[in-house]
Amino acid sequence: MSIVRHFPILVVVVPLAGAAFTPLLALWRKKACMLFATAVILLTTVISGFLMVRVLIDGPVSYHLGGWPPPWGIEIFLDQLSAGAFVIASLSLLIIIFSKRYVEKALEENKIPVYYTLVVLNVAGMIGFVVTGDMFNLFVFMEILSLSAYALVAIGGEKIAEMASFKYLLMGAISSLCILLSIALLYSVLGTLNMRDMAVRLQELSSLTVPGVALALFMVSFFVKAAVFPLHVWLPDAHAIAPSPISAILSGLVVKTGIVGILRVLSIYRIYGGLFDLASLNFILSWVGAISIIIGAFFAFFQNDIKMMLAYSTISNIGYIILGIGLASTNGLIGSIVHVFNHALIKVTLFLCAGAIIHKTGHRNLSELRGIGRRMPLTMAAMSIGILSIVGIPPTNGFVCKWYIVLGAIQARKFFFAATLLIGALLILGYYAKIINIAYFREPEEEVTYDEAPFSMLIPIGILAASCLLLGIFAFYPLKFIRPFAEELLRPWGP
Amino acid sequence: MKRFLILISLAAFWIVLLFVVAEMPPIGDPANPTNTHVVPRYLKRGVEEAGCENIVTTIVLNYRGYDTMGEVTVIFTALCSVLAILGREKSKTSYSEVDASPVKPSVIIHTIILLILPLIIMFSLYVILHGDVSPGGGFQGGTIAAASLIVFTLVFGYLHSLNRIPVRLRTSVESSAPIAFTIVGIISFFYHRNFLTFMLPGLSSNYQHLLARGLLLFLEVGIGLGGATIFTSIFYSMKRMEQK
Amino acid sequence: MTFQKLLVNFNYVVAATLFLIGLYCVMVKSNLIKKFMGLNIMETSVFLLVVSTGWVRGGKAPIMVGVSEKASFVNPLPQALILTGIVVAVSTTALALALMIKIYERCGTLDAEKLKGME
Repeated sequence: MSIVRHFPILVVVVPLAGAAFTPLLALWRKKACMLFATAVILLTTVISGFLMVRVLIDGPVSYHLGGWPPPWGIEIFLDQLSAGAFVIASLSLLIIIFSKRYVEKALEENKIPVYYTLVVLNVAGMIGFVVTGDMFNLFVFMEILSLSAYALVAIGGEKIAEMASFKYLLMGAISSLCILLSIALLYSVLGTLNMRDMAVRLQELSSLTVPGVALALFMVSFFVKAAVFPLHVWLPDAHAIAPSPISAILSGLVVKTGIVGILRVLSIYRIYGGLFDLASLNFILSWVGAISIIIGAFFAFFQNDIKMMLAYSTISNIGYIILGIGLASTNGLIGSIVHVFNHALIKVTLFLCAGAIIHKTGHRNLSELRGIGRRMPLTMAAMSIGILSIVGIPPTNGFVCKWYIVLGAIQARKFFFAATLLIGALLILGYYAKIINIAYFREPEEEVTYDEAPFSMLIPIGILAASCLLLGIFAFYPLKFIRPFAEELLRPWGP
Repeated sequence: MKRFLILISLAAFWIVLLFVVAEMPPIGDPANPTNTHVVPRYLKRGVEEAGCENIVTTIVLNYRGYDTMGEVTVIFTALCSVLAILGREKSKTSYSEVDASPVKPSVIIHTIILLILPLIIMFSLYVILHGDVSPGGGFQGGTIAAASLIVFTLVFGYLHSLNRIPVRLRTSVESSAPIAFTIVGIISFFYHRNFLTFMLPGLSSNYQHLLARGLLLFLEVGIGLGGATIFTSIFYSMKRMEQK
Repeated sequence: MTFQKLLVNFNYVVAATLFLIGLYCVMVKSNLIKKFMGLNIMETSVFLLVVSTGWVRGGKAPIMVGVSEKASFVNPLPQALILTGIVVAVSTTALALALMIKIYERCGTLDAEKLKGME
């Protein structure tokens, strides 16, 4: 019995079953929940690592559930984009290790087991979302990850947390519903729910009204999920008010599932060369992305709360990714997909560092954090590496993907957008320089009684910061890995 | 003014949707793409391949069983979310308005509920167990059972109801639906088949069908029990008023 | 011609209209519970649309007990999809109601305008 053959489904079932067992474990002993969650996510990371290596060597992997071939059954289809499962699992492992000390202080004691259950459910939902090859299954797993995200924002119990969570819930529920409507419209004209089968049958249609409106609804709904301008209004409150490890998961991973959804829809519709050769869609994507970059960076500059600043920075970076997709050139697409993974890594680093600072000092505002570079040197060092990455300075990983997006803009002869990218980078440099200035070059106002963050927080932060540097130096490998997917997406449809 | 703008934009959206709807294949036509591509195999070969007379249950549990596993996880996530926000009721200090009011429920309601409640629960068990040959299934029956418990709580008060189903029992049963799916799915690993395969090889044909139906029944009961307990727990969390 | 097509697809027209009525409620009403009822109306309309795609004229319920195999049946796949969809809708509503209970306990009001002022 070779268990390796079943890894494609085990990567989803292990966190799902683990989350179902956690309340039972909490009945027996509450303190064991964190260790159990860590063990489950560690197992998931190992399995997804195996899968990523297999996709690298063999190409895309397909697994038929129940033995039924698609389109009669559901299939799990792992292409290069599904290697994101490894990124999700590994980052969540570090976040759970970080959470141990943070939630002991920040949450009530009887909510700690349900916190770990919800985090593991969120991870299961995200992994199920990126590996599936069936459209309705995508919707179901999107609901799992959305519901757990809404609850995790509100778990802190403060008044503003509940209101932020409610706004997030309202916009998220409407967008999920529009996605269901689009799936229904596509099903009524295509008759199938399997993504690759849909892509084939879509090219044989005579009337383009129904798929066109479905495409528009998909785009708008995934813009809400990915927090793209002008539908980003739920993000600053929700991400800033949530507990810091949750902000890391939300900003780093959950909004990226919106981007993955957009890429999946684009690969169904084959918009580069099939029936739907839509220059106007690329136009909208590019402009919306460019405006997101500027607006995110602009608002981030004036924030005093460190987590609000990071939340607006997420909006700005999502703008980079959308702009890269809209440029419709190979380099731009490769750069933006790799930026999805890299930005997840960088944002988790930054939010965990901010979380360590808030945990130790109790202050969130920049004006109260003067001179912190001397008090918490290791944490601030990791944060500085994160800041260098997100601005895009070599040899960090942020530099590589932004460089590829700029190359893509030049390759597509859209020099205006290349200029926008560089202006955005300058603005980002502006507000992050503010953080470095305050941390290292100012004196604290009052007597300071805090010192360095505890070990269980420092180890994840250290691993993350080191990964930022390593992925910057060895940046060639992720880019080479993603290239087949990007070329497949851009390939003109034809006999 | 704002209302007027919203009305205008929604009316424009409505016109777009009407054009879309006009282009969709006509309702009721047996030659639609939805009725000709995937579905004939379900209808023709569903009973012999998958083991159930009710084709909807066959699709829900066998052909697209992975979706149902996701669905029970969604309802489990809803329970965890409600518990994260509201917290479980505290058995010593929680009560509801019925307990606090000086007026007892009338004799008529009392008697009728006591007479009807066992019938409702028996009906829900029938719906769960008979789901493979008649309309019904695990989730439908579970909801009926939860509805009966909610009626009991509304009429007789919170304290009576909480004593019947203690928290530890509920916590164990709530997880039963995802765990049932995992168990049934992993059984197929031992027969070298993919996850959630019901028709396992190497057995005689009758035994194969019997095993498939047994596994389906196990799943139905798991979903029904899990769904009922989850709804009851959500209701208990929402209904409590704490004693100060 | 379009009008005739709309008459045949009357279920879809009703579903589209309900969708927009629900969207109007979500956007315009200020009470949080009414907003959520609007969302429920939208969800019901989408379910109506999906199930209507499956109807076959003269078809029977897809239960193979005592019927010949040559008879025509209604499409069972949309019904299976909607079973899952209803559960998802109920879960979202449960979560939203829990949040509303908490908000009401904290702020004493469920009016969106007043809540915005309280932030």
